[in-house]
Amino acid sequence: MSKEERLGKETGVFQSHRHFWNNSPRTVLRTGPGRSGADPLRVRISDENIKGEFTPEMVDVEKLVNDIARTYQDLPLLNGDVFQCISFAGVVPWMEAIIGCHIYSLGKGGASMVANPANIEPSDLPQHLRSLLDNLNENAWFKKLSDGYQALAEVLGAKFPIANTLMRGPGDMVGALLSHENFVGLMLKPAVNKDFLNELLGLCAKIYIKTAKMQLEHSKEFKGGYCNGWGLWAPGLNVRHQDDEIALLSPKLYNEFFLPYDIQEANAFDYSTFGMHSGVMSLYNWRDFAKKTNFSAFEVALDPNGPTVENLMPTLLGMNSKKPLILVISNAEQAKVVEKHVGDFPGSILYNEVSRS
Amino acid sequence: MFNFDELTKAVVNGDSDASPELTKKALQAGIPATEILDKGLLPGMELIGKQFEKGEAFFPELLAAANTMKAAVALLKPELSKSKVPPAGKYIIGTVEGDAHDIGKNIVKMMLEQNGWEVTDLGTDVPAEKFCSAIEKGRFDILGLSALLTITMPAMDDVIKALKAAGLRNKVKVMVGGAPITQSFADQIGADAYAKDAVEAAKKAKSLVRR
Repeated sequence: MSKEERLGKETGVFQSHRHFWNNSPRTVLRTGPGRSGADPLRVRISDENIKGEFTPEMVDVEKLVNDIARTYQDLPLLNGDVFQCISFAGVVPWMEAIIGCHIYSLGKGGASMVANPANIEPSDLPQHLRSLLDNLNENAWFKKLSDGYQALAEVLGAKFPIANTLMRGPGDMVGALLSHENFVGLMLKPAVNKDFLNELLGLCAKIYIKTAKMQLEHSKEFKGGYCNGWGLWAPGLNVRHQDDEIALLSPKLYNEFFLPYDIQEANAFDYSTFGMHSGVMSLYNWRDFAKKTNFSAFEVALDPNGPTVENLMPTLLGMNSKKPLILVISNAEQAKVVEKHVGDFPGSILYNEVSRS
Repeated sequence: MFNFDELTKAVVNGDSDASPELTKKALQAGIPATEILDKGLLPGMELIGKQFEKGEAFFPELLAAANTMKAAVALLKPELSKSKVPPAGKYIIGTVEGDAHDIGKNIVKMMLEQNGWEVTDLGTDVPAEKFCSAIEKGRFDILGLSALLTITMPAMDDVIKALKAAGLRNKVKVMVGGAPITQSFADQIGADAYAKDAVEAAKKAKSLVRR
């Protein structure tokens, strides 16, 4: 492809991404192959079987950014209909780490990390989070993430757009701090615990917003905007948000505890995508979500153990009638069904390429 | 005459005051603990389970019902142990190696316990050898394997292979579950059952030991 043709294609991509955010009818975007398996830190954890407590000192920013640069050096700017975009160490549960959870690496085979509750008395948590919020720049995990984004922008920012790392929202943060079952148990007694939980959620929402904005500030603007983790460009601050804890709530508890902070997060950015799963009960809130928040797009991960895509179609079409929709396809069977219905979606959709083998 | 429906309703509503109160009343009225369990408490868990399956109840309601049931069963324990009521069965459960997610496993454990199962929990990130060693030493009806990550699904296959290699496969039924798991994956690795959620896990466990 000549330089002119490439430029033409890129210009078309910006236009199609604007259509996506406007939920323009029948806008269908497809990604190229996913690159999550190429995360150099994930690969290193698996290869070197790094297992046990994982601390910020174990992230070597310079080495990691160089490894990322090597992984991406020969890749084109576009990946299907979206941009090839880069983020820093998505394998680390950054938000849970920043607020004081113990991060545990699962080593070979697992190549994943989990956040265990912090060793802090629940009654001390509000003060802990207030102090963290006032001194966020001093936090070792926050500093590491900040260093990572500065280095990433310096080395790769001129070639590729840079997106926020995988970030979990206030619900997941508080769930990780307290343990998930305890969190739900406390929510079941709102008369006693409502103020306490709201304080924790509110502080975590502020820490979340500050951390997301820090990454965007370090990432260089890309053609007057930013890309999210999907490589979707938007002419403004653009983040992807995820709160899997929703699966453990009911609509009543969601509205009582989570919705106010989802509204705050959506208002903090120009463009935001909210990630949900289909396999657990987390799609129940989409109507309230679409009506009461300024979130720009829905993302639904089509879990293999959840309802079939055929059964989900009425919900997906309903969601898409209100907001643009990103579908995360897990297997070839789901891909076939999505493609069969692609013309039925009333608004704009993006979905990922999956292996047909 | 004691009204079992009220006790059932207290469990369904997760009413942690009414449920122990009514259980005490039933005991004072001389009703055997097994009858209180079978006619009052367990139907409540069954009902909330059905509502959950239909999407009419959510996890918090399930948790509240289980906690309510737990408080009531604690009052019945002395009587139940006197009458030597055997557990519904013995279940050993764990999240496979490489995966430290435990909430799904914990919910399954909670549902099983409230349905009368004796549950041994090996925790998370459990290597195949540890499952084998526990099954070799103890007597369990069912082994439950949990995984949340696509990349840890193969570890379930490893456990089943390790059980076969150790000559333990016929000693225990294997049930699998977790977000990326499907019936076809369960069939492919030779598991005896797949459960899509905790309510189904309790149901399938019952039917597995009946066979």
